[in-house]
Amino acid sequence: MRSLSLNILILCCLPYYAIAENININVVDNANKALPDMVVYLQPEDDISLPFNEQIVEVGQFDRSFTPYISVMQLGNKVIFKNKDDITHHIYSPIGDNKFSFKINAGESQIKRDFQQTGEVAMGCNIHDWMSGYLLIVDTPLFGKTNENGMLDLPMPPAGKYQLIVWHPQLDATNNRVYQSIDLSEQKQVTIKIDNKILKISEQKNQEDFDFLSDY
Amino acid sequence: MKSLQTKIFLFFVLLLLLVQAIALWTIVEGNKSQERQEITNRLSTAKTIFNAQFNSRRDYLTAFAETAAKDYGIKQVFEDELRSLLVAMNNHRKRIDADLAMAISAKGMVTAQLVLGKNQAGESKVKQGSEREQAFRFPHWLESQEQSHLYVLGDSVYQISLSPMNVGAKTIGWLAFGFEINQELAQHFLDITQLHTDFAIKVGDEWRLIASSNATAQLDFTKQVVNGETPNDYIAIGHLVDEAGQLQLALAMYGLRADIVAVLQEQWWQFLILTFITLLLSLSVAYIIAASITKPVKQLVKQAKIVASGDYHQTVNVNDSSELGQLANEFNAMQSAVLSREKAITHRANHDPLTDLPNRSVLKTALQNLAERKQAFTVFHLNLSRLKDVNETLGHDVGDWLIKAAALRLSTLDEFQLLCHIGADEFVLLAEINEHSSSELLVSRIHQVLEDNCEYQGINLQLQVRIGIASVPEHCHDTKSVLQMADTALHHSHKVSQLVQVYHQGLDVNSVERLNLINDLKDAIIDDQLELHFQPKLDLSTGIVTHVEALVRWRHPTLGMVPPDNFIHIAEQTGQINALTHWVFINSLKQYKAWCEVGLNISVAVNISAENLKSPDFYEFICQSVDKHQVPADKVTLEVTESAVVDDPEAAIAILQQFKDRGMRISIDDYGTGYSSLAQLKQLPVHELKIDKSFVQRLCEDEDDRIIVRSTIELAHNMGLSVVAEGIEDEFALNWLAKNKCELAQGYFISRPKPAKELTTWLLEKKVYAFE
Repeated sequence: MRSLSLNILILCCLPYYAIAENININVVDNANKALPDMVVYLQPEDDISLPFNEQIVEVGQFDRSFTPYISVMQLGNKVIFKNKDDITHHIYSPIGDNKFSFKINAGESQIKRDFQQTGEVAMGCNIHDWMSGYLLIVDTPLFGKTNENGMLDLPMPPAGKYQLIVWHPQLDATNNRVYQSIDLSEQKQVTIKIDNKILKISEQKNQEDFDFLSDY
Repeated sequence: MKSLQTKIFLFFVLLLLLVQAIALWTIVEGNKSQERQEITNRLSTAKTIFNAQFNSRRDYLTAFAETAAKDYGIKQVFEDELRSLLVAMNNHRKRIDADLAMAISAKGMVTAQLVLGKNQAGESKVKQGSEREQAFRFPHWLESQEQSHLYVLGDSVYQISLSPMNVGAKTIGWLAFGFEINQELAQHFLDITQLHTDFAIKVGDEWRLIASSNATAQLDFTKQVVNGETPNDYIAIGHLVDEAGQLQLALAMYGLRADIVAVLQEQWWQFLILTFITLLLSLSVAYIIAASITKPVKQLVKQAKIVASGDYHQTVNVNDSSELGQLANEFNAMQSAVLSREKAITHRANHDPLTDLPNRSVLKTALQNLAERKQAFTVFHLNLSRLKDVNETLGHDVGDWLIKAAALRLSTLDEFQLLCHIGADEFVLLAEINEHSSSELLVSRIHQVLEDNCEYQGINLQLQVRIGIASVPEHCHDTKSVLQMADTALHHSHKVSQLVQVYHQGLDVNSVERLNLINDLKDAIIDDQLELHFQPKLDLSTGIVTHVEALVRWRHPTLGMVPPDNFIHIAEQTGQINALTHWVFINSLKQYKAWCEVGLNISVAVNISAENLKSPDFYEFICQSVDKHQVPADKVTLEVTESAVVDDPEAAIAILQQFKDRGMRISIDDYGTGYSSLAQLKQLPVHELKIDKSFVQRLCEDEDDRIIVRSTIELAHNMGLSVVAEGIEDEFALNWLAKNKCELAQGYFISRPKPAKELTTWLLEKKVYAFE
């Protein structure tokens, strides 16, 4: 029910967004160094209705790793798990509200559209232990990931107060999130300084030198 | 007694004891250090084993926890219902028989806990722990890299390992598995190390004993060991496992020292017994060695004693090639050397070195043997004449050679039982007396072998001997005396210039009787035992007796008449000669006066001794006596032997000169037997010479004597001296002397010496001699 109403909302606002300006968000650390690959999303504090962000999120498995490492989607989006390797993966997430588990044969895809809850979905592969991927499900169409310059452009939403949230699975903060309120009627350029550390991101590589087979 | 054997044995004993002591000490020390080493090794090994096992458990737990945390099955049910999670966890727990299994959520809550405990029946039973739904007490462990920890739960302590459960890089929780540190573990260590193991923990400040293999374990004891102390009678090692300062697990491993060293102790006893046996054996061997070394030494000692006692004929036999055997051989060699040397010494002691003939000591022994056998025998004492001359003129070598020649010739005589060389030129021959031999025959044999002259480098040497002879039992009975007698006889033969003299009592001026005479002589003068005899001197020109010679006689109360030769010599030697001469002189003067009274005018001659001349008041006495008795000095003749003047010619000449000056007549007695030095005669203030009777006695048959006497008379006359001849025993001599102008004659042919009374009668009756 709720997703249906959001869909309607997104459809209504689309022309507005199309012509609207972008809001530029810059995420830096306390040394003003750009933080890339940070999930940033805006959540309106006022009663602002926003149109549904109709897009398909692709969570690939390539070269025995999740590509991208972090994906973000609006609740209700369709997710395509695409196995680009020549080996079977067994993708699963055993905790939280969005538990799932399935195998994808080499070169095949699996579409999943039944995530019911917002929140973080930590994913692993039961065959390749080191593979690690995150899918953040948000309840807003205003989301994205910073580029290598820590920059993210989002279409300017209607003016009002928003909660700007920065998330990263290794962000050393409560719920791995940093919050900041912004008034979008005034600013179009937002810079967020993250004081919290980004913890070490474990590399999606086989820790053991498992060399006796090249294709596994 | 400290014999050599004892010494050697003692030495061995000490040496062996020392060696054994050193060995014992070494082994004791070795054992001690071995024991220490063994204990140290054992303890450190036990500690190492503990650490290894403890770490191995830890690593095992860690590996297992990691494996379990990756299990997809458990991940799937991790957030699901509790029962599924508990079953899954228990399945894992059973695989390693862990005592504790825990699941901790990402939020740090203990979501599931399984504890292996025991029910009342003692069976192992798994039940849920008490900490479910509680926050994990050590949240910092979750962040830590360190996965292994000590975990206290209730009364139990666990060794646990935590492992995160990841989904990719996302940690969704932790799994922990643990082994309890319990009595079973302690027992396990006891089994491996043979050491009791106590476990204690320190929570806060309080120590708690949690497990032990020892049923009677005490916390205090454990703490003591952990603090590094070793309780008495124990070996022990302590160890602390720190748990990040919060918790300390202490380990004490220990055992009774006695149990550990029991094996060593047993070896000890064996060793001591072995040592004792070895010592006994080696002491026995030492005793045998000592005995075997000293046995030959003892033999040598015994032999030395035998040799010392004078027995040289036993040899010592040591069957031993060692130094002792050599010593025994040397000993035997020495013994024979000593024997031969002793023989040589004995030979030298009994033989003359020059002639190698038996010497005086052999002679004595031989005499003794003869005396013991009561064998009659004769001793011939020989003296080589003129050896002194040979020595002086030709040297002692020739003298010795001559003695040897004589010895050689004498030794060819087999009529004698023994030939001895008893002095430089003296030999003694012994002959047993039997009916076939006589002294005369034997003497002639002696002379016979010595008859031929010896030729020494072209010089003819005559071997002439004088012989003194004495016999047992003819002359005496003891062997000592017979030698003395032979010697006396020999001596006498010198005096009388004879070649052979058989002993007779008259010769013996040194007899025991003579000693008695010495004492008796004093009394003789006082007791009037002396008598004066007078021998007339015939005036050959007138044929009447004009002179007499006074001769003293001693009528001994017990010995009878003693010849003057015997006692005058004694008187001279004992200082009584003056008294004697005085007596003779006074009585001669008295007799002169007596004769004067009967109308006889007879000059009196008195013999004067050399001793008289030495007496300082002799001259005074003579003069006073002459004056006193009113005798004309020229009626007194003093007869002095030539030898009396020899000792001190100047003094003698002086006193004689005095007498001459006084008017008395001086006569040289025994002229021709002494030196008859014409030089001295020239000096002597004398009136007459008295030719010795030896020249006169044989005037009849001996042409030489006639020449001598005639020459002497002529010589005397030429020197203004008158001549007296004594020893006239036949008419020829008397006539011959008268014809040759000899002034006075004296002798048996005229008259023997007679007592004054008898002579007075003879003088008064005597006709005048008429000469042819």
